[in-house]
Amino acid sequence: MADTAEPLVRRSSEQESPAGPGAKKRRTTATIVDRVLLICALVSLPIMVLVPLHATGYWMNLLTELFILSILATAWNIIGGYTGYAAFGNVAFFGGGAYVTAELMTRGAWSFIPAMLAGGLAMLLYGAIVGLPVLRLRGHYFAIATLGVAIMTRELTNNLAIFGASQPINLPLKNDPNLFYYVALGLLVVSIIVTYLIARSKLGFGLVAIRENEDAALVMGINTTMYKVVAFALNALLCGLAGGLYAYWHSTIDPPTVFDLTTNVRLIIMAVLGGIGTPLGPVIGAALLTFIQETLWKNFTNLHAVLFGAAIVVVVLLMPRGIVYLVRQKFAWRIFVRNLRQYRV
Amino acid sequence: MTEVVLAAEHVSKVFGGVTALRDASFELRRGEILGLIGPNGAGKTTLINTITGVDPPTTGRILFHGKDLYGGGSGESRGLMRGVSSVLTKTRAYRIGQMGIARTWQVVKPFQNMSVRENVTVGALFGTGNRGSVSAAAAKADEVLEFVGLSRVGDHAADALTIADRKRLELAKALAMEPEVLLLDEVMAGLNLVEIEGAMDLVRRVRESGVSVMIIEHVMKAIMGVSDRVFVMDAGANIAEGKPAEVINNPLVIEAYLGKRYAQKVLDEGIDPAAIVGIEPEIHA
Ligand SMILES: Nc1ncnc2c1ncn2[C@@H]1O[C@H](COP(=O)(O)OP(=O)(O)O)[C@@H](O)[C@H]1O
Ligand SMILES: [Mg+2]
Repeated sequence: MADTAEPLVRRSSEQESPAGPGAKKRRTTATIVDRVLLICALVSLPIMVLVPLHATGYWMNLLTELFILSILATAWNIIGGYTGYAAFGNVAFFGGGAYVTAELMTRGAWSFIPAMLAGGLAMLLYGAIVGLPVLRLRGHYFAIATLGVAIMTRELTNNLAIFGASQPINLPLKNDPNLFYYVALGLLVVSIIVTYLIARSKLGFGLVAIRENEDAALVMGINTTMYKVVAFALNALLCGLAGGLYAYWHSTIDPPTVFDLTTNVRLIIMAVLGGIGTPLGPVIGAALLTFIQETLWKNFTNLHAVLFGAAIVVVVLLMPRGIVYLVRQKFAWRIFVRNLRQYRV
Repeated sequence: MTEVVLAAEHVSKVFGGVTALRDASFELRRGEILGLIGPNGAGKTTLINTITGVDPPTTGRILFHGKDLYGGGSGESRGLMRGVSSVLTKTRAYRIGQMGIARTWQVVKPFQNMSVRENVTVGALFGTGNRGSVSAAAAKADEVLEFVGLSRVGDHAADALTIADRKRLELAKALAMEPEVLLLDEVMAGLNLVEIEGAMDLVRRVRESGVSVMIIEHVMKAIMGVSDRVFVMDAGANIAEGKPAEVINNPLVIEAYLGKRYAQKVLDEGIDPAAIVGIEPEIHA
């Protein structure tokens, strides 16, 4: 960040620097890769806006789902990638947002957009409230506690009469693929912009410092509790918005679907695969994973789940820090080959 | 007498069954460099941890400008309540850094996946400056990098530094907080003689910039060279205090380092105590 350009001075000092020119090169490559990714994203945005003019129902569905998953992976990246807290219960907020939106639209007869925003805000609040105690835990304990929050939220929904107990809720039917497509795309763009803003702001520096060393961050004057809660609540907000959209899109929701625990796993894999702690990594991961999944589904319908699992294992072994990190490196293919050898794949 | 900026009063710290500090006290005056020495395990690092809120004291008071940092919250309360109050004080520890007390870590804690400049920028963003803008903080960071001599590696990843540069980075992160009090925990351990000279010079320049410094060091030449006063800890309590030359000849101090029998021998045979106290111990984690 804040690159002050003094190429001459730097070049001469590179030779005598003990860390060697390699480290410097690496960061330069990283900057170039980040710029290229950003340009790709900016170029693909108008294409995505024009897609509904030509696309079939299959593609509209696939892309809408991809956008929703990308929002979830991007949301997780804020707490899991930037802050280093591997939340494992984000479906609590996805499902919670879906249910709040559904209730407001059915019982309250709200229209869609206000209901979805209210669902998101409710999850922002819910995230802040559960985050306060849960974010005291670190590592595995934190992951398990968030999983507990997801299960607890599902069971509460299952048993509370106001949420129709375990009966499915039917929302007003809306047959308008373009609406869902554009709302999903809009939310995704907002999520990515939010991530960029965080990464460049004081908040982002604080979050990454917490991830890198929480005690050091604390004594440097960072209100670690507040920063972690803010990151967790922003993550919950985006999940809640995605959940609200999903509810109206699917028009029928029930607890097993919107609180599906495997969704947690999927979105974390997406973020890790793409590259955690980078603004666009989770989107790339989501696209790649969806692509692999669809290809396998088309060609090996019976075996696709097994092959999908195997593909994830291979990818994570070879690129443990994600695609964005790998292509940032100067000799990316060498790292790839080294991992290949290491695991004797 | 000049004003006391930071003081510990009868501080104790118990970890389970281990008493790391028992009745430790000291006073740091404005603008001075106060040396802290003592054998391994004496509780020097723990003392810094109690001051900076990493491990709030079990009993006793830490006073910054005469005000108790822990507001009396750590005291006679016992059992569950003590656990609760220590969690509460730890979450508020960030205020200590914001008030103007900065530290370095004996076991260095760089933010590894940030560049050197970004590491220091964190100090300038938070700390006492509490800047809102990243670019203003980055400008301050560049100033500090220049001051400690790290400008040439500003863009390097923090995990790619030599030992000497890692120690400099610790110092830079603390200085970027623009503190009033700086607590240095063995920033010279592992450095060669030339690097130690440089570090001593740096510590003096920090003091000249108006910062009061407490420095823990095993390198005796360095601590004797920069300190105005030295205090000595052993087994969690302070055992001696005074001018560097007085302290080093204090039989109690020699005894703390060597044990009673050998200490007597040293005194009888007139061996230079600095040579003994200055034995650099293993770097311990
Ligand atoms: N977090 C902790 N838990 C348990 N014991 C600790 C902890 N921190 C320090 N100690 C103990 O406190 C004593 C003092 O340690 P320390 O302050 O690191 O000594 P010094 O820095 O003077 O070498 C040692 O016996 C050490 O084992
Ligand atoms: Mg120590």
